[in-house]
Amino acid sequence: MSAKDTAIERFFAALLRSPYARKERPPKPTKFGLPQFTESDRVPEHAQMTSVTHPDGRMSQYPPFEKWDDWVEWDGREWPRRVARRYMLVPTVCFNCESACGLLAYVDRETLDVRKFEGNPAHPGSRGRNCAKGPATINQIYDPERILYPLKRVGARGEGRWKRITWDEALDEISARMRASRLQRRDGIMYHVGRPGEDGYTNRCISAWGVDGHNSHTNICSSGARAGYAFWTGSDRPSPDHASARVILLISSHLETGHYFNPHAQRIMEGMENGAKLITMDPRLSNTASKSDVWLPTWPGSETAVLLAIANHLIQNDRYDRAFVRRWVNWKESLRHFAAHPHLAPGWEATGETFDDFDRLLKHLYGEFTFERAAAESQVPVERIRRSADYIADCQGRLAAHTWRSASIGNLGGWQVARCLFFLNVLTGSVGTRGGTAMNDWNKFVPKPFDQPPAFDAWNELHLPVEWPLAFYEMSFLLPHFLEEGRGDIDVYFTRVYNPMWINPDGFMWLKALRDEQKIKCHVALTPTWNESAWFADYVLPMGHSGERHDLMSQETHAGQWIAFRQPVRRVALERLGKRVQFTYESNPGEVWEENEFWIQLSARMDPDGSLGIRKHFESPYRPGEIITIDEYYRWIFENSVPGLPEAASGVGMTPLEYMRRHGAFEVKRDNYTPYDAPPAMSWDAVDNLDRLVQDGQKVGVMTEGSPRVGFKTPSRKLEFVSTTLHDWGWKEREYLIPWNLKSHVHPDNIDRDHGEMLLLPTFRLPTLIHTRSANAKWLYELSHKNPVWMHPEDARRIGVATGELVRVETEIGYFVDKVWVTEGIKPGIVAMSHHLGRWRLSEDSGVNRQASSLVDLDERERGEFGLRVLHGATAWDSFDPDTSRIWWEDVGVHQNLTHGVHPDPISGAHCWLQKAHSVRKADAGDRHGDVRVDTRKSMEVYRQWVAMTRSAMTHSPDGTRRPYWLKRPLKPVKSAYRLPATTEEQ
Amino acid sequence: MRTAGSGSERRVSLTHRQRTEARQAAYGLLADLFRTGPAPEHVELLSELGLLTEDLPQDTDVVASEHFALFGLDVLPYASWFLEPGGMLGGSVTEMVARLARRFLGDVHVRDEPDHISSELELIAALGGHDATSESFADELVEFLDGHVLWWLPAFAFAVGRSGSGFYSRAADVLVELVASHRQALGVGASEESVLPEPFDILADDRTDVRQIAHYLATPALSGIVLLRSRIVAAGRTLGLPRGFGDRRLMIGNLLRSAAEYGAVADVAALLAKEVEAWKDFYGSLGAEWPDEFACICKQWLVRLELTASILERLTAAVSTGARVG
Repeated sequence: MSAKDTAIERFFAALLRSPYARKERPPKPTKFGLPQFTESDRVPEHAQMTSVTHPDGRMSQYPPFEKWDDWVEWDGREWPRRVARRYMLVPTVCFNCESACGLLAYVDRETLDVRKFEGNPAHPGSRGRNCAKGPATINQIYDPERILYPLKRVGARGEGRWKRITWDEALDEISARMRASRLQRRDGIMYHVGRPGEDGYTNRCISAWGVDGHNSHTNICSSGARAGYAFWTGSDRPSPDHASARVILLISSHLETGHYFNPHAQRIMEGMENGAKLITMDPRLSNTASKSDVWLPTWPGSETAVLLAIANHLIQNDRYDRAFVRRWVNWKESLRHFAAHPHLAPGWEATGETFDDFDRLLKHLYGEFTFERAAAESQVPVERIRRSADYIADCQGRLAAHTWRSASIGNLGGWQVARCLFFLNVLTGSVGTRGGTAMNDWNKFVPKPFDQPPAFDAWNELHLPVEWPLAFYEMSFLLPHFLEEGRGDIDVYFTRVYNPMWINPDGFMWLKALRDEQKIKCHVALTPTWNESAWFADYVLPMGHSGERHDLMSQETHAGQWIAFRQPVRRVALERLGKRVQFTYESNPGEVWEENEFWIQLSARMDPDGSLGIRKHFESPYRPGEIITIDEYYRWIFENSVPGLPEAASGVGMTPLEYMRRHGAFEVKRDNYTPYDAPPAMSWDAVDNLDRLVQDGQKVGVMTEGSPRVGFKTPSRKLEFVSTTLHDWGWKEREYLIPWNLKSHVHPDNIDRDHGEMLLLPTFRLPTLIHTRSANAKWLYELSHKNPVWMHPEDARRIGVATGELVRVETEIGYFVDKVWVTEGIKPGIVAMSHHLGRWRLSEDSGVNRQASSLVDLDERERGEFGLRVLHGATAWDSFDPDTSRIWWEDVGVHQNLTHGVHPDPISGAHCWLQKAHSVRKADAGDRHGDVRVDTRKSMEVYRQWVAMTRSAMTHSPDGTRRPYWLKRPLKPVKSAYRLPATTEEQ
Repeated sequence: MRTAGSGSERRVSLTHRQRTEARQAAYGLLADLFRTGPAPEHVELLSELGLLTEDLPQDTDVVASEHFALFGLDVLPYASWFLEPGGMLGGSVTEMVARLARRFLGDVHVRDEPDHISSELELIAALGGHDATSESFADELVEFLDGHVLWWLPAFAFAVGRSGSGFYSRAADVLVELVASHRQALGVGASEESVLPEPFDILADDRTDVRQIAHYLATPALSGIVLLRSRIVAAGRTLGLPRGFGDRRLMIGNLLRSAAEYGAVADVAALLAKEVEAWKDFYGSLGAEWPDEFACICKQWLVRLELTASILERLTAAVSTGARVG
């Protein structure tokens, strides 16, 4: 050893005795980068491809199933060289919207990198097809800016300083906080989820914690539609059978071009190929509207007038399905209600209790809804409405109709849009029929897990406060307003693939809440990629994309039932190659994990000795006393809860788990029609005065015209024309009790167009993006990245702007500045902007992806005024992916939601998204694209105005409870938790 | 840890794991020292350990002011300053290091100054910190060292040494030894591909003026020398020539103009030639001491130094024959 070596060694030896040897290690590096693929010596063999011929005549081909384990194909990118690649094809499920379409990952057998995601032909919902979002999963997996390791905040919240921690540290620290909270209270932990992308897994965990901890995004999405459907049927979502329909009626194209785009769109096309007529109501000429037989560009909020005019046409001309209505509608109860409350139908006299009397009542009630009135209110040519009515009258029980996050979530009283729409299904007898509209819980199959924890005994006032006893569901978008009012605080707040500050209205109120460590004491963001809210978290924990996680999903895509298994494809490939993987993060890029395993480990650490009664729900059904593995969890479900799966697996020599890992999906039932018309599975010992079959106090069915049937999930077990629930909870007026039209907050009477006021429609979707989940998909952002203000030429002329020029749009609480796009594709008087876009970040080099966000200056003034100013838009940058240096676009849209005041519907609790634009004008000289300014004092004023419209359970509950027990909640507490808190006098 | 021998010659035998840990600790310590200078706890620690003690002032304010003067004004501790053809901070060198840091460590750990000597030491520590249970980044580390760090680290250390700072000079020497021995431990022959800009003879262009000569001399990647402000000041004082104020390019330009004005160009060139000789000696010794690690790199630097010496000679010759300079 030389002298210099000796010196260095001595230096080392001294250092080993020093505190430096015990200092925090430098961050562990990663080799995450562009995927690598090996060249195979094998030559692709001729194979009989699996061909799927679609109903529209197109054909898709896939490698045959028996070759999925070892598939060799030429690499097209290497052309003209002949380079063969050898893959393992592993099925998984897309995670980019809730449709749960099947994907097939091509995993290199040596490097285990994923080459591409294609469709899974074995998937009954998507049938081998995908929209752009499915294949773009590959962008998300190899996104150079994705979060790879668990991070913990350093410094103040929002300062943007993070340190890497281990999963062990994260689990220990967070579980300790949860345990401390749970020991003190049962409403201190909140799990706030965007779109779940799974069915019941996490809900089971929350139940096991024994807390009222589930919060959702439903009230900014679907609650209006859910309420409308639930008051009719007891189920809260529709499931149209588009492929077999004669008439397809869509309230906006939201779902069919944006949400369940792929499975629904392909079936709408199929239906149209078979002769179905497509009618679309949408003030915007969407892709779907442009392909429709009838486009009804209704003024937002007038949809009910059109729907009731069509209903009236069916009723007055006796073109409705009397037999169906007589059999399945609560017409007797309705007649009695009107007889007891004659002021509800002035001029009508109760004469008896026959169906003819009900027919007479219908004719009396709806006679005022003429085509002419509908045309005037909707500003649509009367002939188009008449033509639509004729199509529907001729549907022969095959009307597939749908509304989701559109008019039903846009308007005050929007829930009546869904109710009026389903009224047409009822009148045409198109309920659950071939080509009709079923309910989601008939077609969505959710298997039971090995263990179901009992209901919790708690009620979290921050979720469902007394003002909204009928809300669907938690009043999640008002959380910051509740916190501002001092209604409570949160010990541990999980945001899970959810970006509340960006996606909700009134985002600066969220900013205030997220920064307040007294109100939100610990914020854990579970997310695959950076988002605006995660920037203000205490922990940022990376969760996998579709090919990096386990989940079980089903959706009501058509008249059938199926389940699909999302899998971490590298892990599956590793295990097939004989390598053991304990936790999924060992096989994912960096240390990206999955929620399934995370929740198991977190819950177990929350209750290490079992004293809280939590641990036992996470113990293996196969190894008593030991913590369950993810394989065991799904093995149990597939072996015990999915009818037909064990037999199908056995038939091909596999275990049920192996079968699902190989196929990725399983069809449970097909041609699932009118299940409500089946005999009840359970026996009964009495029939009550509403013809309901009763067993031990439980309603198990209903007697219809002498036949015992399962019926519906409503209190009457029938379709409820009059909703006694609404009556009992204080909504006694006719316009609430039955399908009717409610005056929207953006009714033309409330928009003074002569003084420059307009209606801002902020909700339409682009089929290529997924809210804030798609920012790290470069292909998707190249396709669509900006959200200009759509404006009709008449309005553009009046304001004096041309395409590309800036307009300032003033709302109730502030304003934003955006470019205008002049187009006849939007109704005069309305300006429209797509959501998804307008992402931003506060730091040049970290935060939301540079291809998808603007760098902004956040300006905070005294007394609650906030502003954003864009410093620059999207930029190219250097990374291991050469594509990032080719980013050519700069405009990534404007974050309009910040300027939206909150509009909680007093019944459904939905945020009524449509905004009154107090002015839309040419931008001021100092205005810049992307400017946003908001006064949160006005936010609270608007909030209070809408709260004033509610009818609180404290004053309107018929039975001293907070909410009708029969109404759904994502997680129901024990019945005793429904008791209203005692008033001061009672105490 | 086992020891043998006695006193300063005592030999220490470390396990592989201990050596890895110690190396990481050493990088961490040196990164702290070069980033901010020694804090009181560093002084205490170094004293306790008997490391770098010879020139370690007990008053940390003294070292802090030295740190500011040295690394804020004289020797900018950034790879780009040494390797960029323009001699400016930032640019493709910085971006390359930032890209690597982002690639291996993620955005969160990319510092604002990715090519600062301390940031680079932290990246080396991260890449070299694997043990039997974690992924090896040896190939990536070799690439980073051979393709980048080894090309500027000696120049940095020698420049610090010529600044007259005892403490930082010692620390820089230790740093070179630490990195060189680390590279030696990694094995595999070093790459011979140069990362320096191609040498070019500025006097080959008739339009070259004083400003361009000053730029050339002030740019380490071109001239091969790091001409410290303190050396320029000393040259002006020795020759009685005004050199003005401002950045180094301006000062060298002023010095050359003054020399032309006062007929002292040959004197200035002679002083600069001495500077070049010192650098040549340094690279010669370094290449001999660490042949596998540095010989190729030193050879490339020596090419630049030879050219600079030649330029200075021709400059002197041109002046003596009456040719106009500047």
